[in-house]
Amino acid sequence: MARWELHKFRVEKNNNILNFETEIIIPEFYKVITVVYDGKQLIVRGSELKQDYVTTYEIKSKLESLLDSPLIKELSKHSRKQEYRRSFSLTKIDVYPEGTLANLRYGYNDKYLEFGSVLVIPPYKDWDTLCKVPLTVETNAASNVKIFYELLTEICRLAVRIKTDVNTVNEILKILLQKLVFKEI
Amino acid sequence: MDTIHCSNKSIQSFYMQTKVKEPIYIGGVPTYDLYLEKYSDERYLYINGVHAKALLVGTHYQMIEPILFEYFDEICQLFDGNADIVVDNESYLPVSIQVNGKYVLMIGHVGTTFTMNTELGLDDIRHIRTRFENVFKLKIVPLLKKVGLYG
Repeated sequence: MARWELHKFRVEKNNNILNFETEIIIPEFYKVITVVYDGKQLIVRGSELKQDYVTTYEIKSKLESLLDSPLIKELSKHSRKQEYRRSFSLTKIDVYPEGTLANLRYGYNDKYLEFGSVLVIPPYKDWDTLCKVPLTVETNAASNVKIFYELLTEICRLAVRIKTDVNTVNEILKILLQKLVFKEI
Repeated sequence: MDTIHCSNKSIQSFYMQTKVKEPIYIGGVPTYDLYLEKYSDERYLYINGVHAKALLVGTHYQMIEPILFEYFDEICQLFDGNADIVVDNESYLPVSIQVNGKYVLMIGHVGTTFTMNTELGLDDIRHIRTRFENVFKLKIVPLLKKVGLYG
């Protein structure tokens, strides 16, 4: 398989409708592949996708699991509104020859928690690393310094689950890349 | 915000705001909003700029001075070299830490958004948090309460 780079990964559920978008670039062929899930089907631009019900179901269930993160539940404690939106995305994606770094951004309604840079591809071998490396953290869910520190503690407490989320991202990409037919490659 | 300046793991100076229900008389004026200070190279406590010993019941304040400074030393043990720490005076948690003039932790707050930039890992930050909470809430505040300088 040709070398590929991840440029976008975003999943969200708005009023119970699951949406997903990812963008993969094959630098060798200047090819941009966008995969979108609109709540019903996977739509691919830039390449052909061998679609089948099982693949779509598998991806959908993995996307759902990303939105079931305890970090999102934690954010929900700081939102007074009834749930209308959940989201998980990778932001500030930086691709290096050794791997891909990104910020992980979890959202619940208008509240978010974003931290990084985290090694996403390939994931850290030892997930204790997450709380040993310097991270930037940004959130609008803390109303005071104490709550902000509590959210920092939650990131470390949930490091194993965050590992699972990053592995899920990799699994989704793996499924998509296996199913994509690069006729030119 | 409160401030702490440490040098080689010892307290050099600090500035800490407190509020009291029973006033302290400073220059004959009942005062409820206090700021406690230690200046560099002095081992005395100052209250609103006045040497604590010189105030009414000053001997009480004088008695707690060495213990109070030891508690601040416990915080300073966390940092090598010269450290300047700004502390949120509600939670007693650091919002910025500079070591030898370089920021190793900075928590900014704009509107409803908190942002943290740091050179430390979250494990280190958790350790710092625990130390600050334990020293302030379990040691410094109860000690100040005992002599009427807090709450």
